[in-house]
Amino acid sequence: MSDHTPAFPAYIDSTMRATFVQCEQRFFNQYCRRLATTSTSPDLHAGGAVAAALEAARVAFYRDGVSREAARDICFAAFTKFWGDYEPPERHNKTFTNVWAALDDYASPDGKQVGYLAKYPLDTDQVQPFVGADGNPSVEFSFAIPLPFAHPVSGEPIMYVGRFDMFGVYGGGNYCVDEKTTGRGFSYNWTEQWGLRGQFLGYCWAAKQSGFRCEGAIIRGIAILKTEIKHLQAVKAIPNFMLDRWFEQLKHDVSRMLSCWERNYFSYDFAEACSSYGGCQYMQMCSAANPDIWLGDYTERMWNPLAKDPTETKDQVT
Amino acid sequence: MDTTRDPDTMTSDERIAAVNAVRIRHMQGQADPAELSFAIKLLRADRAVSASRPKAVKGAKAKVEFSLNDLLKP
Repeated sequence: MSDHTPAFPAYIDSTMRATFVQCEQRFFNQYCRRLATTSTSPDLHAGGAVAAALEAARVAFYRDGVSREAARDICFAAFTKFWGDYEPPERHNKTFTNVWAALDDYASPDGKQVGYLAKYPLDTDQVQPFVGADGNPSVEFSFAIPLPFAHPVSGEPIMYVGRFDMFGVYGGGNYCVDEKTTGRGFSYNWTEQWGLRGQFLGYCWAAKQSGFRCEGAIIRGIAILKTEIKHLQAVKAIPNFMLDRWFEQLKHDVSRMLSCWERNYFSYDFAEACSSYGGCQYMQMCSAANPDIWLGDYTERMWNPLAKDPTETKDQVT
Repeated sequence: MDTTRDPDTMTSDERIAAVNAVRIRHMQGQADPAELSFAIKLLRADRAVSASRPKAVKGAKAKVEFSLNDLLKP
């Protein structure tokens, strides 16, 4: 039985902050009422499968010391397990076979199908995982850092949480590494869009809060097209003043979230947020005289930023 | 499953059916490493065939339309 009783979240991540800034009402529906459509997002599913598969390959290769070929097989096993029996919508590029092709340690003779593990071979990749004092390679980095705000019900500190694919060393510096899949080609300014992205500013801030030096973020794009796979890498240096600026903004936004909660009013955007990306999933509620008549169309889904696919249902969150 | 078969001697349908069988066995925790490696080979072989297949769909349609137009000519 779904429970949509509003509850202020115990944690905030970059997606939640971005949603709140875009439309407070969407934030309320998605993260306080936990309303979600029953369908699985093909993009989030593919992204989760890629993250799970690459993490398995990196653990096997860098920590367990298996061969590159064995790491590829372990990568495939993890990928297959994560993918399960999911089928994306018809004509969507991110199918099981296409996404695996984008990961495989294989380059087709015509050079149009180069998998991630062939483009960035584990043994010669210029980005190698950071190895901590315990000797373990940082092939996955999760964090939960208390913010200077008390939860309105529990009184516990609200946490800023997240996970990224690898904490890596590149050119003598430490970088947060994250892979991004896209079903379209790369836009001309693809590499430029990440410097101001809160997601990566937050990762870098979290790495520093955890006691590490961090120069910035490396974002590796994987474009999964119908007959071709493309790769593009963006290396973004993030200076300290940007982290300070981001953190001030985060505090400002969380303060506003709490204020909305106390006033019991979350504003409607009534602009781009309603129609972008094919239309907001709550559009039918926002346009109804009595929004709650649509509640039956939604299931309860707890956003879990520490999961590889954060759109897990309530039952799956542990 | 015979993991020693040459993927190039199999039809695309056979390859995909074999990959799906490995996926199911793996989800049930029954696939062995040789089967997983074989599935990777099957997927590569299938991609190679898809890539080399002539992109004839649009051309074929145009050809049919052209023929029909020819037939409709007085």
